[in-house]
Amino acid sequence: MNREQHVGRFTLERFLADELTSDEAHVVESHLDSCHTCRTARDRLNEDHEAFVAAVPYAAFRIEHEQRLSSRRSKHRWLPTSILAASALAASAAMVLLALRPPDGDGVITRSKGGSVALTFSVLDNGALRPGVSGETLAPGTRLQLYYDAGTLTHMALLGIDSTGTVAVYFPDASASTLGPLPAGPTGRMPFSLTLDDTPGVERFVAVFATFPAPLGDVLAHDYEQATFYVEKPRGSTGTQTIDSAH
Amino acid sequence: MPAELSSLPDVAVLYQRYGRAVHQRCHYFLRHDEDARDAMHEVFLKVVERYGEFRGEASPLTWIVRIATNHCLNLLRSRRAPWRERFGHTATLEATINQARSAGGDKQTLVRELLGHIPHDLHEPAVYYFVDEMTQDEAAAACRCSIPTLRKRLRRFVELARKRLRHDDPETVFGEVPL
Repeated sequence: MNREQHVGRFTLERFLADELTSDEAHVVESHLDSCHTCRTARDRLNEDHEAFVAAVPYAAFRIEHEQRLSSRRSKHRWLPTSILAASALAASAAMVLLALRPPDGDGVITRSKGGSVALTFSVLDNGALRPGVSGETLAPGTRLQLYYDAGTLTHMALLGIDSTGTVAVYFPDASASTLGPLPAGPTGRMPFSLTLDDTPGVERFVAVFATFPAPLGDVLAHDYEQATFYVEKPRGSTGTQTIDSAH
Repeated sequence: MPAELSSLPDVAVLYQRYGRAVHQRCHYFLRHDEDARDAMHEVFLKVVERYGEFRGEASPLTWIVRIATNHCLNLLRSRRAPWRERFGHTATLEATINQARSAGGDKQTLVRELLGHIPHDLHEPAVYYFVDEMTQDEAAAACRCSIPTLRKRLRRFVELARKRLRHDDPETVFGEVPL
């Protein structure tokens, strides 16, 4: 496209964003009246806009935006509710967080709970995303999207532990033996969603963060005594979790 | 009257007006729907965080696109080796470019393919001028440099593109290079 003969793409963008002065807009409008190429470009941008709004409606965007904003502002929010939820009788999705420090000279890994890390989730509810609440009751088939904030830590694992003590490793993947590098920077969304199956019982989601690729076996052996084996899941697929209403 | 940014961030207005442009920018660099959507969210968080810093020295769209561009470029740069793989893939650069062109690829595609093989200070000028088709004034404002500096960087970009494209005159692809 010759710059002198046509309206530049960015000028079109600004025109559609209503950023041009009235004189500038008048020049663009006059050109559009007589130039099929530029009208086509404008129409394509409008079509792209319609498609974008349909694909990512504002309501869904806003929910996730607030989720991320809240996660950045309140890094300790999930720890108290997740501890309470873990002890509740009603079935729940509970979040537990661990932060690990590299082993010292004696090979001991330091553990601390919560701190500057966070794990939050959204629930796909009737076609719309809404923030999840740790401890809430969810029906089988409900789909969850998880988000994390690793603070200054660089590696993580995401585990699911059902009422029988079965451990599923969702991140890095089912065959992982160590924590993996963060999937989306210091804060982000897990690169998969989870769908709840109909197995009854309390389900805990455990996020473990570290500054190094800590061995998963070590984490499981020391922190989850009842965990005896992994549930195998294909890489990249949606996992299944168990949750149930009150017994 | 041209639209201006209000004194406080109205996310609904920002999203309605600039969401598509931000998403397209993210998708242009990241080429993956989920990555692009994730990056879009991060960009809007940055827009809200930095809202008070906007002084009107450039248009709101310029400011927001600049945030999106830098976010994506930083994301790709932080991935080190995959950064070059993403833009060079397993084939030689020339083969990749020829493939893009034979498939109907345009200069936007070519710029993206070249980004992994040129210095970082040339990334923004090339994208703003050749992909976004900003004017020199707009591109210089977006790059926060003078127009002579912008021209110098664009000439350097075309010079490097010439070496890469070898058999084609890059000016037939990228059009006039500002003197």
